Amino acid sequence: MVSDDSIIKRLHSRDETALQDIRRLYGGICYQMAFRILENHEDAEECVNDMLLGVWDSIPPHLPMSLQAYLITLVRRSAINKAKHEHRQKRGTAVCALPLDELAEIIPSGEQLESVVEQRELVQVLMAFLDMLKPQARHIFMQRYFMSESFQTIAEKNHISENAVKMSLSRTRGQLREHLRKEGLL
Amino acid sequence: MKPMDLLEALGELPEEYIVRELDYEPPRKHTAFLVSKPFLAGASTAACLLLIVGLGVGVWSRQQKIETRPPQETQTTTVTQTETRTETTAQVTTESQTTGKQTEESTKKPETTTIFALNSDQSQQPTSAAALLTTAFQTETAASAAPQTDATEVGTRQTTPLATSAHTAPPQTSMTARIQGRITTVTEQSTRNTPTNPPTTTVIVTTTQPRTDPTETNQPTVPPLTDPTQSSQTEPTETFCTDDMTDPTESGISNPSEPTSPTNPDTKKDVFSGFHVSLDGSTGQTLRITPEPEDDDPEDFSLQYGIDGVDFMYVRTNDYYQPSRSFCILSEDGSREIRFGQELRKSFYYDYVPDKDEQIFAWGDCPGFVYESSTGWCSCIWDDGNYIMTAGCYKEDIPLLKRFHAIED
Repeated sequence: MVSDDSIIKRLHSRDETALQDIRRLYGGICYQMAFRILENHEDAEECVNDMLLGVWDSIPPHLPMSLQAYLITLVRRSAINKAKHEHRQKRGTAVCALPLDELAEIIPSGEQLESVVEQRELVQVLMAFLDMLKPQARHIFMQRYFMSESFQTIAEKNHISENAVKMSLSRTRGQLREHLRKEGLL
Repeated sequence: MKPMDLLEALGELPEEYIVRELDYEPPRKHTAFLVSKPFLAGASTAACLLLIVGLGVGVWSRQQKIETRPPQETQTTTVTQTETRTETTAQVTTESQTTGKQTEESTKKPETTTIFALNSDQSQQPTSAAALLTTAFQTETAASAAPQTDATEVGTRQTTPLATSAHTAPPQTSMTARIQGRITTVTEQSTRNTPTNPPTTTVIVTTTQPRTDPTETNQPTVPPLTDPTQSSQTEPTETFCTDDMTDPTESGISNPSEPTSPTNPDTKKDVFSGFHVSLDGSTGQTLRITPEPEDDDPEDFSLQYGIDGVDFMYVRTNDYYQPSRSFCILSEDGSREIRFGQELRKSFYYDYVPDKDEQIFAWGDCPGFVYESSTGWCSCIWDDGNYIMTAGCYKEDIPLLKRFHAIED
């Protein structure tokens, strides 16, 4: 069985078979992540290819702690960027796959964060917020807004009802809103 | 800020936040005792009903026993005596109520029909007792002198305990004694016959005995549902730390006057030249230590590296923790600066534990803490208010250690 370490080693030695193994082992998960966001087969495939290119370019020198987490982050970033681009071009309804309407409860419409510093600050605030949450609430929050899972999937994975998922998310969004207010971001 | 900013910010979270969610195991219900709430409610109700019924039957049977029990010795001692006699000739012995002597009496099978009209109603005892006495006296005078037990049919009737009547009886005379004896006989008869009742009582008692909680025998034991939050989830905690270590997350921004541990003379010389890493006890290569350009406090420092294979270092404040400091990655001119925070330290412990095969290190940034494992060690010590960290490993072929091999001056 191919281990993550051997893949990373081969990436370091610029062995392209590592990319084949990544596609074989993690291509499905990454595709599903991209498809949940974009709801388009071609776009999702394109995101997976972008992810592979991103891995090839970044490793080395980067040495991820978890290859799976790293790949998911890359493909998600690619999918969201593509969704934003599609939205700007007003092509398709890709942006609707993202739970933006739910997050709009927390953040009333405002200006997009432009500076890196503001973005970094938001990341730090989010990290502190996530650390405050109980494990299950945090997990449900991340499954919904990071992994873009559906309510049904989240309910099945957590062995709870869909209503319980929605209630948990609603409570967490309220807590996030308060937290952002406290931190002065709202 | 827009909702999309939030989504994008989630994508910029440190890797360990994603790993934590990927590794999260939702709590599962106990499959061995998967019972629905209605079933549990019904089972509880049935158990309560059974308990109530059992108690009620027990009380009833106890009452039955009391009712059928022969009169007390102090009340009518003759009764107890005759209880053991079954079909013998009645022998009336005199009894003194005041002395409490028991009369012995044997009875024989009743030969005549009922003499006494026994009243089963205990409340009417005095009346019936008087009637009994009267009737018995009359019969006695008519019959032979030999006392006989005439109450053949009496046993079939429900008798009234004569204890009460004996109490209310006038002072005894010989005649009275005889009558009492007869009455006693009657009582015995009834007593003898009343054993027909106990069987039913016994049966009932048997079913309720032992008086245990029916729920114990009839219902499966349902363990309390565990709190889902107390799950099998292994959260990164600071359990690896020694007890005397101050938990910076609890103290928040800790007291700047926190005492420092003694200086380690061996590493003091390396404080100003860089971060010292020793591998297997031998001196490793040092890194540059650069004051952070953003901080005015010169004692804050960060580690920069431009080393192939090494992807993180850490920064610490001089003499106090800043738990609000968080982990972020910046890229500058090919080198990377990574700042550690408590959050990363926790997750680092979680990820790099000795029980895992490939990751044996545990980082720490608290004074005097030494964490040892079978395959590696690390320590953090104070020196002039600065954290110093040394890391070592007994094995040379672990991935983490290989990162340090690539350290440049």
